[in-house]
Amino acid sequence: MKTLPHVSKTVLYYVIRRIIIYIISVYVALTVNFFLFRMIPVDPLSMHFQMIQQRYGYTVPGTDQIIEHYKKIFGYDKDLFTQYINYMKELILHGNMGISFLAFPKESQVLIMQALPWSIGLLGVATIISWSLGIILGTLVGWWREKKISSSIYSVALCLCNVPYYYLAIILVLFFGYMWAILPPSRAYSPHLTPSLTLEFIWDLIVHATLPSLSIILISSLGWLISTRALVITILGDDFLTFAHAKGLKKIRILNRYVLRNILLPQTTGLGMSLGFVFSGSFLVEWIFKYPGVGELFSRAIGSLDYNTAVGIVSISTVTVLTANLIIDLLYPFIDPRVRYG
Amino acid sequence: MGRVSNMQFFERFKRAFAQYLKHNLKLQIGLTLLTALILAILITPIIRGIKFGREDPLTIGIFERYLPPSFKHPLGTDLFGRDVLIIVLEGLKNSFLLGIETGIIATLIGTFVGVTSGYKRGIYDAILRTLADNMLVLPVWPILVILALYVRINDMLSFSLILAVFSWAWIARTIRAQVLYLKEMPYIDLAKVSGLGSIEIITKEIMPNLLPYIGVGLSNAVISAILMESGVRLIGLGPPTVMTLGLLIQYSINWGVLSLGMYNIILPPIFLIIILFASLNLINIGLEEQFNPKIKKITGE
Repeated sequence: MKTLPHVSKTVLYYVIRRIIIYIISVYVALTVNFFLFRMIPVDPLSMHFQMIQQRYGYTVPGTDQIIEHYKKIFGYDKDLFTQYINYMKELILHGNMGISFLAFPKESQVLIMQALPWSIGLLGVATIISWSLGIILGTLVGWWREKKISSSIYSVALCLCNVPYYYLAIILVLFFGYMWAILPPSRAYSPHLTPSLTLEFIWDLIVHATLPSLSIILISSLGWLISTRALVITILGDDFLTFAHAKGLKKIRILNRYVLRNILLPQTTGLGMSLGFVFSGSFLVEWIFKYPGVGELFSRAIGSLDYNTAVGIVSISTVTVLTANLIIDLLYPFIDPRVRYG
Repeated sequence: MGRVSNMQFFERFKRAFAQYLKHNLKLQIGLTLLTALILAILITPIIRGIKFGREDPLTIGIFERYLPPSFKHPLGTDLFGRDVLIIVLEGLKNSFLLGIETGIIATLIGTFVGVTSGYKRGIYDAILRTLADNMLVLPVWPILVILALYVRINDMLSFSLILAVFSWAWIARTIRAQVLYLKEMPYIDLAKVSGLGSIEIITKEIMPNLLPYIGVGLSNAVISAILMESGVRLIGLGPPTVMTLGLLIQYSINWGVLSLGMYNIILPPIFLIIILFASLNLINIGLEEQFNPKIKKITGE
């Protein structure tokens, strides 16, 4: 601090400004989420009774009282602004997201917290594996870019890199899960086991996670492959690499010390960004595999119009993205000396 | 003075395009695949006529249910005894139309926003840029689900309008960057000096140079629209009367086709969508390689 007073002051301003922007964005996101859901004109009970009425021509006695009671319990009988103040107060002071409709007396955050570890486990591992795989393959494909095989791998990657994960998931489930029945097609662990730290249970977890994570890994590693290859090729054209060659350094050393190092920096940033998007990217994979994560919970919440849970999930995923962006913005100038705090 | 009449302009564009086509394998493969798909859509009524005559293969219960693939039903029949081949082709047509519709709307919005904010700058630019940047970090999928729930859409047009809301931002950003670059070119200064108005400069001098970027944006928007649509369909939202590939996939999963191992129902729509993506992607990359020499260097063809 003493030696570099000027720099530290700029840094401080930058950090403060960035954090203020972050807080404002989080607040706006939470508010928007709240109003988006509250303005949906249907409530779960009216819809349910209406369906019974339409299908069976039967009016449930006391429908209005039941709906009124429901509104009172969930606090929908007050005006929108009061609801908003209450919601924000509960959320910020107590971390309370309101009662869930799916598992009635429980509160939404309890449900979400139960689902969160599954999602983080599955998607986190899948993301990190595909990241490493993509970087290794991308470096090789870029390094040998003149070879026929490299360019064909690259072309395939280009074609398939934005096929959504759940298509591959469906194909994998069809073949491995049902037709050949090699791997379990759904759930996170066998129903006869209780979660524990035994070897049997852990093996069961891994077996069940294979198909869902494979469907993410196979496609998202292609994206990393493409971006890595582009980075490698730009670096290969750089002067310092020509110099390294001229010095007579071994190829493997150049690849390791000169190329890989320069790739890791931007790709780590990319990894941070993608970890933020982890939830929203693979909601449907979880849904297809009935994996008990946040995505599956969200689909169920939407299916039964459980607004509190749905708002909670969307809020958490928005805040994750914003936080990931904040961390990257704050750390990046430290990692990469070429970037200055603006 | 760099002014080109519309006629000349399209002539020039056509010639340039023909030349790109000759040298770019990606563009060739992409366009071939796309043409094949469009042809398949166009000859659907003919196939229908030849195979089934005046019978409607889409009436519920017309054939036996879950027939295996045969000569009459190349892809078998579904739970309701409808011919799967015809349903899939019908779905392809609707998915394609939805994608194009959304793509065009999104491209129009994106181009308008991009051009005006890049050209005008100032507070207008600042607002639009912030908006576009924020659209890009939104968790699109959950929000789309809420909207689909909220609006209870029953027709394709409003559905594609909703999808377009989420696709314009990316286009606006690329176009804006390009406009900023073009604006500094000497020939624009020349046009200004020679007394052309803003609108004339935009339409006659800037727009022609934006066309490739607009093309890339359009095909990206088509891809993302089809993608979003099939995702939203998967959890049962969207207009239920219009058969699209996404809806077909959702239905077959609900029918339990996966656990029955009926690959003949579930695989065709998935493969068609993947081929559609692949072709649009190839066209995209081919175009970008041709128009952006920097990318060409990176892709190293």
